[in-house]
Amino acid sequence: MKGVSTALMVLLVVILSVITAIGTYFFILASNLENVRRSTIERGIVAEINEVEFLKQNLHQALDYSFYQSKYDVAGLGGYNKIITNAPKHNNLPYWRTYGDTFMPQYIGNLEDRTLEIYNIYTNSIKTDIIKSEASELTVEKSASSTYASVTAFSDPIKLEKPNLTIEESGTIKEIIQTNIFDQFNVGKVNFVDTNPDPILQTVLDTITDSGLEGIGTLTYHCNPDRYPTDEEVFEDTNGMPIGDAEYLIKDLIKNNIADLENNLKLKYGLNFDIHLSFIDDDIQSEVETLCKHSSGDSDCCYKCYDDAGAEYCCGTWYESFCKFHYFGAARVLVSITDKTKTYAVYDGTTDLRNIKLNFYVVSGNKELINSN
Amino acid sequence: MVKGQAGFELLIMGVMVVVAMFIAGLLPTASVKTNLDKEAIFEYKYNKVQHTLLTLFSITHDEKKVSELIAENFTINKPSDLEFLKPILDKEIETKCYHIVVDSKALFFVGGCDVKYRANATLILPYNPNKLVEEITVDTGDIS
Repeated sequence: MKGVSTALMVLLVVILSVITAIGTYFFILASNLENVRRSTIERGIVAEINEVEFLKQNLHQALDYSFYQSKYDVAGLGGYNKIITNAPKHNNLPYWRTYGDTFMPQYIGNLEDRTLEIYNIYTNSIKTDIIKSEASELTVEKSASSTYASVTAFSDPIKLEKPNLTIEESGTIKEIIQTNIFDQFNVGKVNFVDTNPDPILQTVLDTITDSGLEGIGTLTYHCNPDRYPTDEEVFEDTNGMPIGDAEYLIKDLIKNNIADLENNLKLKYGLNFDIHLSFIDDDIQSEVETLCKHSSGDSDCCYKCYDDAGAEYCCGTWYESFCKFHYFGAARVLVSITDKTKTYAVYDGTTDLRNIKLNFYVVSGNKELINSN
Repeated sequence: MVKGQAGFELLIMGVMVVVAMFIAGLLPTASVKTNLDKEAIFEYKYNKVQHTLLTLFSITHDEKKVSELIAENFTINKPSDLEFLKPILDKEIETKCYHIVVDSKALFFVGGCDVKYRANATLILPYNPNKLVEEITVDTGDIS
């Protein structure tokens, strides 16, 4: 009886222990599984929140790069986006001035268009489960100080829809970007579009004034009905050089004075910008125009005089040539204004760090000696 | 004697039952705690590596975003420019083993270990019509 009682108790303990062990095992298993399940869900949620955050950061970065590339492309094409419209051009660059006519591009609008194009190329290249759309509009606004651009891309909201999570954020991306692009265009505008007379014309006028060439010349000569002195002879007698040499002198002086103009602009804006005025030899032209009056004298008398020896005293008649000389010059200059304060990673065949360089042509002078094409 | 022996057996069994009940109570608690600790550590380190990657996308250096510097470094190949990041990463990642890789090119390779925690994201590259994005990965592991 006692042995049965002991055996039953042992059995009871064994059963209890087995139940406890099994219960413990399943409890541990269930708890661990629940922990793992919760952790996995939590990690998933964190990853998805992070994915939205990464996308937003990437859209901001894409907007930065789009603006950098847009600045490089638009400035490189004189303020235009791929096609030069409503302005004459030379060597695939626009003229901002052809003598009295000016052609200032709507460069901010062109910056907006180019930035939007590139930004949408970026948004399409970002592969993600998050619902995003291309930007429908993009604005570039200049800060009061001109040193910052507020670039805003307007898009539909960003959406992430998952079983455990729904995230919706504004799709509008705004970046405040430090830039010299507005000042860069403004240097070109103030000096070559708004200034009258423009610096190239002023250079030509100063060159003529400083050349020492005379504006008026007279030459008297003895009666000779067979031969009048030419305008060129009057000019040479007046200025001590042939017209061709005077034209060469003017051309040479214009070249030197454009170099001086370049140095003055460098001094004025040298802190931020490197300004270069370049041209080839055919881009500088000069011309001397003569307007002469020849006094007719008495040709009969002169003829008679010529037949006699000692002619000049025979009739006492002299001819006189009175000339006015006009000097003209014109120059076509490629103006390059480079922002030397910063380099940007931009594409131009390869991607590299490059300065933003604004290029445009100006042709001016006191006569249209160079065609604006 | 027999009566005393039965009492002793009962006492032993009682003790065994108590011990069994104690173990039954303690073991799951200890196991769940251990498991929770492991999960918490994993969670922490996983979030840490995610946070590190997010930090790289958020901070600036010399008025330039670090993600921009990384992208330029990858595109233009100027490895020395990222040295300033090392103390930041050492502090952020809290381990002496981490690798930052962009398209299989290691920008940072500190310590050798098996990768345990990984975070990756799309990295925007400077404009190039042929290649605009690349994957950036931050790997960390426990150094032995």
